[in-house]
Amino acid sequence: MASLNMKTLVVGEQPPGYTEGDAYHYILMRILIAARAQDLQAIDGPYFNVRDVEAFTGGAALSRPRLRRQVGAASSQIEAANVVYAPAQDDYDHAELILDAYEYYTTVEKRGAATLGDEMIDEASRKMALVIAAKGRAAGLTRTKAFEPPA
Amino acid sequence: MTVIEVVEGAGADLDLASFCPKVQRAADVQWLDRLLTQLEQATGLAVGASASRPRIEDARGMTAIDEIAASSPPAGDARLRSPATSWPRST
Repeated sequence: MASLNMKTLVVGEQPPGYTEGDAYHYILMRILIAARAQDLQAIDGPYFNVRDVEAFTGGAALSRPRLRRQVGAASSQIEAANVVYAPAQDDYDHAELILDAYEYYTTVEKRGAATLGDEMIDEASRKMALVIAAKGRAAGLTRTKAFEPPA
Repeated sequence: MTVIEVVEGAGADLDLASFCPKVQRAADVQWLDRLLTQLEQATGLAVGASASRPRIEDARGMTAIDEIAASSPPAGDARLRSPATSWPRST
């Protein structure tokens, strides 16, 4: 942060004026792409205000779509990180439904693409659903919805 | 404390998740890889046991991010030295 002359004194904190945007979006995304291109993990850095769990959660939420996990600078951040980096229950359920639906439509009905509710699903949907489903399973989530083939 | 002191002192207890700070170029990772390999061989440790994660901590490291990410053996290799890159935001 100092190398970029960022106007803040707290490691991991957004500089003043970034109420909507993210001063580190480019940096985090750039690291993620470089890491993924080599099949490596990308890990976010720490947030030093270790007692401010709410702010930590907000920062982790910003990096969540990008980096695999944030380094826990303090034990108080570990629980918050596990929550914020796990998929939401609805998203986990939806991912599992996509996998089931895609499996059904491509094997039983032998189609290349299909719809799940109002949403078109294809191989790209399956790939994305695999990521969310794997994260949900790793986080110990359980399904609350089951796929029902059309009558 | 030098890398040599860390590896020789910690031995098999060396944390696999140790970080290599302020990486700015691929040569930094390759230097560490070679040094760790020689230390492991000299001390009887399994080669590749002391993995290290390069930390991207400044603008110069960011501009070399692709070559840094490509500077270690691919994931799954026993001699993996850089399972992650990170932006610790600390400097």
